[in-house]
Amino acid sequence: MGLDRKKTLEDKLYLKDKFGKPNIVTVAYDKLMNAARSRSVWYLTFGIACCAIEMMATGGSHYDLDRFGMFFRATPRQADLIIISGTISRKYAPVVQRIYTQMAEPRYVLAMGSCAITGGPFYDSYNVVQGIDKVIPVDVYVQGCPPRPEALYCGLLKLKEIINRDSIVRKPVIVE
Amino acid sequence: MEIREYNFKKIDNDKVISLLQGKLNLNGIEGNFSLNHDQGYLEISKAVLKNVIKLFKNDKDLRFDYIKCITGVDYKDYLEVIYSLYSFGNNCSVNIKVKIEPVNPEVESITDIFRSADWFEREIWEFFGINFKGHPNLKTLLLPGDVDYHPLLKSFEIKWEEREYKRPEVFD
Amino acid sequence: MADEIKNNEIEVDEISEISEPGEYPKDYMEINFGPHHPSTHGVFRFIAKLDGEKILEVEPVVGYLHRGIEKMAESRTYVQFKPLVDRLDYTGAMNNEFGYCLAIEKLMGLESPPKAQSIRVICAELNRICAHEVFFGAMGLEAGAFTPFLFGFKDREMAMHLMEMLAGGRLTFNYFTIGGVRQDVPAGFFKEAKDYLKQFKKNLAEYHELFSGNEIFIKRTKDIGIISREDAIEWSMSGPTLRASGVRFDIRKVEPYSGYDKYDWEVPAGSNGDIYDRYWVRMNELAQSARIIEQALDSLPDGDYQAKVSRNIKPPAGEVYFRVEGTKGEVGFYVISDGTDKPYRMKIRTPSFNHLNALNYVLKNNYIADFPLILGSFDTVMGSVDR
Repeated sequence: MGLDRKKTLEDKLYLKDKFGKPNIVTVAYDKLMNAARSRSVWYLTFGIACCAIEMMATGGSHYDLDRFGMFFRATPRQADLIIISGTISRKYAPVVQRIYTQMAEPRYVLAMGSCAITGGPFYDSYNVVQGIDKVIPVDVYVQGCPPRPEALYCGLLKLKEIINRDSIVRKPVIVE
Repeated sequence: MEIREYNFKKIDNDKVISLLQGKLNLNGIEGNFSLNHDQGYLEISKAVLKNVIKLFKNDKDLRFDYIKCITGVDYKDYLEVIYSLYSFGNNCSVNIKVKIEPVNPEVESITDIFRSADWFEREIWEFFGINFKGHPNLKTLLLPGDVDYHPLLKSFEIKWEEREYKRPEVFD
Repeated sequence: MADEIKNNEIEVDEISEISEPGEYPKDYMEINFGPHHPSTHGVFRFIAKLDGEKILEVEPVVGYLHRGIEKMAESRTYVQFKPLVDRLDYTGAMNNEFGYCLAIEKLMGLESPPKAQSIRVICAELNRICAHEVFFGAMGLEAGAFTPFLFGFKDREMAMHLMEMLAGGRLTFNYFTIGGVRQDVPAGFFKEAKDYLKQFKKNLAEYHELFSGNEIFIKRTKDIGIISREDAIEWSMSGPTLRASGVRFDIRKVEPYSGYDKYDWEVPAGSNGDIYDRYWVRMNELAQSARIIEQALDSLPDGDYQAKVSRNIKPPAGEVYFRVEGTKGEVGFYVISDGTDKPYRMKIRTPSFNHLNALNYVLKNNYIADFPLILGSFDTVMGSVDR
């Protein structure tokens, strides 16, 4: 049993087949919760500009996000992830901040597209905030203008790895 | 209502200009006509602007009933507002130019003649500082509410540099 | 009692007439529908004064996506500015590029070769299909149905696959150049495009069968949000919104550019001016776009795909206003050039700006439940409004 370290959580859970009757499983709380949480990330419909159309296309039926357990929710109180897709203007940045504070922890932010990372092609405009990380802390950056759905997948799978590293023993550090 | 089929035949620019010149002379209004890349331009002074536009809209032969665009330009010695009108009945367009002095610029609003000039003029006020007299609602439209500059003037420069953004502390 | 049951019609009480503007009842409600909301129209906020369920006044607040594109045009050369024009109406991006390139070419007195003109027409019509599919999906979402959204985006994927073969991008392309297009039609494009068009016609028949005759949809859209012809012209509406109000006007027919007068197609128009007519005009335009693409593919001439222009584009001093038929309406570029390689003033006139201008007028005396469908039928895209 000590050599089972490489096996995944699911293999360890099929103990009923091994022993023939229901059994007690001991598993680290972190691993169980992270496994459940990373496979069901509900994202907020937060389309701002052109990248929003690519986000909708990723959620459509050709590139399907529902098979990863990701489904859009309309209200920030029920969402885990906010995908910032589009250019943030100075009029809109307080709104983003307010919505972010309305989300319940643990919450994650994905900056999609070059406008959300550094301001993009509109870098020198007077009304554009140069990157969303001046407003809220970001976990994953996905580049592209707009990024292909496959690139968004790569970002979301990286987010899954980040969620798997979370732990309730050590509280995650929130950068102010 | 039934679908109206207009007769969109092409009309010569010279005919348009002579027709407009005739109408203006009839009403005793001064104006300069010119052609630029196949489009007719008419330069008038600020004072007769409303009369000209009312004439163009209500006259039975002219029937300019559609605003294509209202543009503001900043030449450094003066400002200019350009009204582009189009007539469905005659399939012809004209551009009316009005010069405005750069210090305390103001001109009369045409919202009581064309209701769609509302947001066009609001945008020009916001970007150039031209005051439209008689406009019902001259507030900022596209810019945030607390700006004190008019961005599209040539004296306002934008550079490729990093700008600071201060987060409001209220929401945390 | 028996009489009431005999007739299936139940008399609805007369809806009380709205009072004069300015004379609102004392207990009206003022509600803010914030910039973030679960519809697909982008960052749009409005403040509504309601008397129960009836709308008294709507004040739209825009500017949450204002990027200052017109100011940036004055510090970039013509070629450097071209990618930014794509991001205006991002559902069908090539039509904006069309207007920009044609405006600069008119200033310079240049004409692109016939092959480039045909390729441009194919790209523009494919993008029109993409944009109207987004409209179809959004309309379904507003009416409460989820399937049109999935159907629309599935069809869009096939069109975007074609665009990727041709231009290299899915949403923003930067494919047109001043004088032509950037690269030639690749091998294998004709066969794929013909297959796509065959499939598209079958899909379109399926959409009509699914959604257009649906009784719930018809009840929600007929005779609601009516705009009369004079009002539509006075509010400077254009595109399918104007055509549904009884004006058969399409810039591609009236001021034809880039060879649109060579093809055989029709302009649909509606006679009622309600939401259903605006939907119907756009679905008809999908069929007409397919017709144009088929004719353009069959008659693609040989030759170069780009006119010979210098690398440094310096139009002579002058000004021009050029308009094209974008996916939502009339997209116009007022370009003032002073002889250098940077524009002096670039004013962009977009259709969604004027449609939102008229929102207060259209929404008076309608119920708040009809609001999403009316806004969806205008088909606004906020990148266009705020620029």
